[in-house]
Amino acid sequence: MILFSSILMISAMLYGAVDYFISDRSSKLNGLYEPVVTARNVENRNSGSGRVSYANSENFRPKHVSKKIAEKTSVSVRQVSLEKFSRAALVEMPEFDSLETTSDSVKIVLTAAQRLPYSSDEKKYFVNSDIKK
Amino acid sequence: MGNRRSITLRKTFRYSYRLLFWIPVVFFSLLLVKNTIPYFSFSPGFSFIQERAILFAKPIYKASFYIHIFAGMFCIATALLQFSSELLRKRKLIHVISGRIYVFVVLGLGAPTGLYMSFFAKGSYWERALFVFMALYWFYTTIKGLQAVLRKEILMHKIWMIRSYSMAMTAVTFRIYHLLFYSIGWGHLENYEISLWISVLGNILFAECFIYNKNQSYFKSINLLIQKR
Repeated sequence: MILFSSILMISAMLYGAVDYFISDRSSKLNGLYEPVVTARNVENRNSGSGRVSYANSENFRPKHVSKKIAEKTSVSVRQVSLEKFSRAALVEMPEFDSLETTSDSVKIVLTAAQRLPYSSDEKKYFVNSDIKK
Repeated sequence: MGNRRSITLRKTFRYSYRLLFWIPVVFFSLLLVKNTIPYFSFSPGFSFIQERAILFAKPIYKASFYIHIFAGMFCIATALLQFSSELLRKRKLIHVISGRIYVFVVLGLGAPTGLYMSFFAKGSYWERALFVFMALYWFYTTIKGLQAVLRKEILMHKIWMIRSYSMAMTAVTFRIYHLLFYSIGWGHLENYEISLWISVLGNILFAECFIYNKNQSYFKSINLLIQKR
């Protein structure tokens, strides 16, 4: 039992380390758990404007926009239900539907097709912390 | 007469203290088990799964998750039976069987899957490192507890198993802290990270204090032996 479980532990350690460091999983993780878009001043369920908070997510910040500017970025969410909004959704997105950047702002338009199913925790999180009606 | 009364008072106090400790432990442990059961519908609708949608796309992560929560359920449930001295005295077989289940689910299922998943845990590198430490510590303390009982070293078996149980209980204490901090309005991620650190370090500290208090005379005798030598 001890030998068998020790082999299992070593395998889990090696496999996890390989999967994390060698595959691209570690870079994907940067954006996975971070709140990417925080919406404010929501007018109704289908639209709103807000702020992009990239936190550790380097994946989706355009290279020519500094992190400081990106954190203050404005975002408009159009024709997408905020209830269907999920942090994981943004990680899945290969690129934004449309992206307009200036020297001090980025405007991002998201489409409903890019959303993942709504998460109840997410709703709580956004409603309690970020959405100010 | 007065002496007998003070003994009775002391016994009552000790009994109440035990109740105060074990009632929430049993309640929150069973609540955790109850909340885990719906996951076996294998529905992707749970927020925990949705948040990790990318990870769950990988079969090995998905399998690890379900094995881990399955093991966790049995581990928490069986561990509750292990600390009853009355059960140990009157129904030793129950202690032995549930102990074997606990050891099997920790060493064979819970710790290896937990170790793999810890690389992808929520939080920064420090939180992932903490999860790796937790899996290794849980595994090591359980193995030491098993080895001790195989060598018939009952006191050491108790000590190592208390340490192992303290790690298993981080699943419960983490949720308690998380709820507490959520109720005072802490942000999602900082709440998660602080709850995690407090639950792990707090449980280790609690276990060590508990072990020290329970075995003070034993540790003193070791000190005396060392001094004599």
